[in-house]
Amino acid sequence: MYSKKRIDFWKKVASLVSVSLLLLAWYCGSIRISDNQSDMVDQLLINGELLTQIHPRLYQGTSANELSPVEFIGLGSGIGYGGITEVAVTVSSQGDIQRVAVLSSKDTSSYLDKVLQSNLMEKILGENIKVSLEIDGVSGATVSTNALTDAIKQAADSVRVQVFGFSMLENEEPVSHFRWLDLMAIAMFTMAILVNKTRHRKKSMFNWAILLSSMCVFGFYSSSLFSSSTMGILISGAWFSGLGNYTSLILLSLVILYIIVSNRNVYCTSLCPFGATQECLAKLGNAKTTSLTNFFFEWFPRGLLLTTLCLGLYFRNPASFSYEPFGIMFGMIGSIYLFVLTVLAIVTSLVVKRPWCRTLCPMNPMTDFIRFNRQWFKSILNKQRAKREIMEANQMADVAVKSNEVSK
Amino acid sequence: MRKKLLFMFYIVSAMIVCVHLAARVNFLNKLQTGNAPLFVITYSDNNKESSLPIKESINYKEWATKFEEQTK
Repeated sequence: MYSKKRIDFWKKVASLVSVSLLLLAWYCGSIRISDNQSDMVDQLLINGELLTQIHPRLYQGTSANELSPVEFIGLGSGIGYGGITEVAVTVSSQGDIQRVAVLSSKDTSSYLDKVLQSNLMEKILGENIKVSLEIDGVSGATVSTNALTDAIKQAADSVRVQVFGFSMLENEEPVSHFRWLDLMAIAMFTMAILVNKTRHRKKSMFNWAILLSSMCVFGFYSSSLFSSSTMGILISGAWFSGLGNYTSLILLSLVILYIIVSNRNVYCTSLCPFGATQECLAKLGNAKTTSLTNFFFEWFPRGLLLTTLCLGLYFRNPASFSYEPFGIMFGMIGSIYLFVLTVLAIVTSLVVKRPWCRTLCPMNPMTDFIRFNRQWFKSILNKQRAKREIMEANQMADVAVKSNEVSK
Repeated sequence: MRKKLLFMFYIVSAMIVCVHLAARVNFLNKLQTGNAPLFVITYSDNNKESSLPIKESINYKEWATKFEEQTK
């Protein structure tokens, strides 16, 4: 219908527009953010009427007719899946915890909800911070729980140190972010590259072995496969301030680097845990391959991913806009819409091979984007090289003509 | 048959994803305009005995009504 040149031109326009929109969303997000934390803290007073900041992370509340403070509000932060979780703790002048408030969180809302719905927060109410705080975990949302408990402890510590004169423990263990799962991600990615390169007759069997291992380790065990929210975290730079789990980010970075270097995507065929689940279901139902080739079906996922990334950048919360069924599939955590989507994907996988991969998976638009820009960059380099070669050839010809003239 | 099924899956999934994203945008927008914490829990008679008098107990419902008032 359209010439290849014309399609290429529009793809270049779309690529530039996408980058511009992402930059615009990031810029608009930075304008929108205002320091509203002190307004929120003001609402957390119980007995006090006047709020005064006495330290960057500590406020005191006094009643109108008394000079001595009646309560203190400490602020603390912890590192969750998508970034920092901010908490405020209201403590009485005797040291009892009176109120706990989550000011902000960059975690997926379903994980945070699971922690909030547990009685983790209720248990610490009434505890005296002069005695050490004991906070239990919540299964299925370990990183979010750790973020919240770290934030509460930090908020309590700021009151404990500044008001009650306790000294901070110096021998606290440094937080180790590099875990065995991160090493496993690197090792399995290397194995996936080797399996894709090999011409061994049992290549398919090796591929299945990696795929199933990945499904168990990065899927059902740790639920650390990457999604559109990981892409958002990567481009928003939220990982600079720390993340509770780097495995998905490491996997995504390796995949992007390998596509840039070799133009090949080994993740989908050999590592994707959800892809592996769909493959298993396809084997069960004897599903066959089919695909939709319409212009709309090709461009809709691209638009969807771009919208998701823009929203994540604008709200500075990429984890909130994840739309994949992975959370429900591997952790039973997610909204009701994603639950329905997961059920649909599972049922369709029994008849059609990898329906999610062939429709809305954000991996395809990301791969297409990197491949197209890689090709574009390469063609620019080739053109420049060709120009340089022509110029050099012309110069050589000129020199030859001149030397001929001299010899004559 | 399979193509039709994939087509149906595509359309329904796309609709579900769009609704999910719209709900997320709506939720975050409400939070921002409300300028209130995501979650507040207060020590009251309901959970444990308090040694101090509590002026008022703020709970999730109270914040929800505050959201509504502010957004109006």
